[in-house]
Amino acid sequence: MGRKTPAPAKQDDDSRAHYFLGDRSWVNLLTNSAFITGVDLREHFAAFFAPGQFPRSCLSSFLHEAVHHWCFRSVVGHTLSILEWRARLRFGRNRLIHLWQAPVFADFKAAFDDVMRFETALALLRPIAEGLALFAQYDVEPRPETQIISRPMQWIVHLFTTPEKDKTKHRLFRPLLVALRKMRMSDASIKAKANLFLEPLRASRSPYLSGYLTVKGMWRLAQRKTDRFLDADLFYMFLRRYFYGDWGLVVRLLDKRRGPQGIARLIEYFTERLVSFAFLDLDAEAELLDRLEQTRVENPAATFNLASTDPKVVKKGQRLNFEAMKFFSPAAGDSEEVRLNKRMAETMLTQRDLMSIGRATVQIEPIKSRQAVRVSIRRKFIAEIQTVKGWKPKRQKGTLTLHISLQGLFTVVALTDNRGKLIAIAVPKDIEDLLGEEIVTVMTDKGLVTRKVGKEYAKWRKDDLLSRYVLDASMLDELERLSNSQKQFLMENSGYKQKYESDIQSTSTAVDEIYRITSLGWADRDKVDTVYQTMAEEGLYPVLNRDPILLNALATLSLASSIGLSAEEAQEHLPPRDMTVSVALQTLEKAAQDAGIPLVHSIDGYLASYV
Amino acid sequence: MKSPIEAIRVPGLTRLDKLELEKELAPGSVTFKDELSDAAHGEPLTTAVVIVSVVAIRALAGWLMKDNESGVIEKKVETIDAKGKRRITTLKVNTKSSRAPKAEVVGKLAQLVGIDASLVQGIN
Repeated sequence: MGRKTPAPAKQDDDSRAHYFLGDRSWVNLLTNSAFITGVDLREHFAAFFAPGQFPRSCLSSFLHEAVHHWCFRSVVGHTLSILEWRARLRFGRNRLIHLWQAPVFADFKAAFDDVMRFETALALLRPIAEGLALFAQYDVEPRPETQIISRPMQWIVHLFTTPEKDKTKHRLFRPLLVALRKMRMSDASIKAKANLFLEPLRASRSPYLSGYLTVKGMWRLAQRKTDRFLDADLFYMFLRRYFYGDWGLVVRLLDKRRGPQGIARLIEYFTERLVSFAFLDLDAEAELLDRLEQTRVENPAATFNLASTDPKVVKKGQRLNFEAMKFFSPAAGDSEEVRLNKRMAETMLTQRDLMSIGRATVQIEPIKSRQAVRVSIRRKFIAEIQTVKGWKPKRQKGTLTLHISLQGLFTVVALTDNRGKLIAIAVPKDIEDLLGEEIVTVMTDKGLVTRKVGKEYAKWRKDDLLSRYVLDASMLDELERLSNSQKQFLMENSGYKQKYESDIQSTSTAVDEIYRITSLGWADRDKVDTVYQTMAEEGLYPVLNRDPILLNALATLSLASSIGLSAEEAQEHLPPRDMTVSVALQTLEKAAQDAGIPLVHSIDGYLASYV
Repeated sequence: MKSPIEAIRVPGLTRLDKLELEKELAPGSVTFKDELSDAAHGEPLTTAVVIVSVVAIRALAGWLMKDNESGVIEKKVETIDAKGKRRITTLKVNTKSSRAPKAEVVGKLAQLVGIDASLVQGIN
């Protein structure tokens, strides 16, 4: 005996399960709420307001989730959200009336159809969503030659870099490139990329590797067609618009023809969309995108579509979208509960711009002499914030959340009590003026339109509208989870269970088949089937003979390639005890030849990676 | 000895972590869950749910020790008791300053689930 008893493990303050998911960043398509792991407001709150001071350890997660948020703030993201909220409201109505007696009502059928369209589109798009986010994490570097940079990259500049002092446009680019390159060659990034290579290639099992290889393959193809898309930032701006700004998909999603035909048409449409990419005039698309995005910088209210978009389809999509939104307007005969649910859903549908990037439980102390509170986290003072009118001063716990507007490029701090009621909302001083020229996205008969609004409206918006939609992201997520379990319960206990399962299975089969082809466009043609069988469950691990050292070497060299390092320069990033770059390249070449897929080469001393 | 805790949830596992943990633990004693809702798009990470047993604690400690390059093991885990009550705990062991780091990790895990640490230490 005599063994020293270990000190008790520390019990955390907050034991709510929701926060336990904090080890994993996420964005919810339905609410567009987000969570970024690693942000600790007790330590990082001040850094949020000092340009370039946000912790670099959060950069990778931030970029990944910002790309999701940016994609979902789109006509397709909005339409998917309409379908799912409409279904849940319809389910809710059935539950209140007749669930046990006769669950198959017209409304239930309609709800089921909405769910199937939502889930089919979600499954079809998920690899693209993850592929775009991973592509941003590992490959995207804006180029100074292009006039514009993407929204997520603009936020990286603002939060994680400090501009250099010279007056050229390189003063922003250089620090951005340094930050991105440093992030990519970090141990955490190499480890994450190695783990990406272990993901199953079967898209219905995991969307990550299939999506990443698909997007990267599309980029290679695009570069061959136009030099403009050597700029990966411009390319992924284009790809976001191609998939998430797709009015054709909106039309298929909201088309009133119900039943299996609708789902089959959706799968067929998406497959055609992917195939059509190879036949686009990408030079014209890139030129238009560059020009129009630049116009948007000067006039944020401007809206536009890709060169290949049919204006008739746009018009039809906008009309269907507008009509679908009418479902959420209170109707005669709606109960108070239904009205409230509709209002909540409508708020979440129209206000999807803010992205929460940090959240903490705080102690709130009223200041007697002023209409303000002192906020602290675990006894550390964080800020003094002015409270909203009508709030009764009371010492209590609450939640502090930080938000950014990807579209409007401003920041918001919100303070809520434990029931989610807003206590205070603050924007930085320099944003006050900007609010006078507030940009809002509103629903019109032409679909979603971004508008500038006057000061009067902006004041009202700041006091009311803004405060209404700065709901604590944890609350939004909880709400989504609750209605999700209700939906699952109804699907399990309705006569539609078998049909639901068989439709989901058909969609999975279609998703696997689509991405089997798109993710292996770089493999030897006659070996695609064999390569797919090899990679379906454990990604590249079997190709690399399950060798963790070779896996690490491939991750390192692929990242070195993406930032333009030579083989010689990449050496310092490989652990000395593992292997030299030349041995790694030889071994990888042999593994690649055996499998029938190129992995990474050295060309004139520089690295070129396919993965 | 029966533990009052039925399972330990370990979040934030990568695919390689998953393969390693599967190798360490007996089949059926660990499951992996993607705990986000369908609409949530998250990082490619998973959560392991380890059924508590003397052997599983030992194996879990061994796995935690593998990621020890910084000299500090710090991991948030959640325990679930028979009534389903959950509790989040941060396990922290400074392996640089510890004479027997693995024994300390085993000890902390054993204490967390209410098992006599000497029972776990004795298993090889």
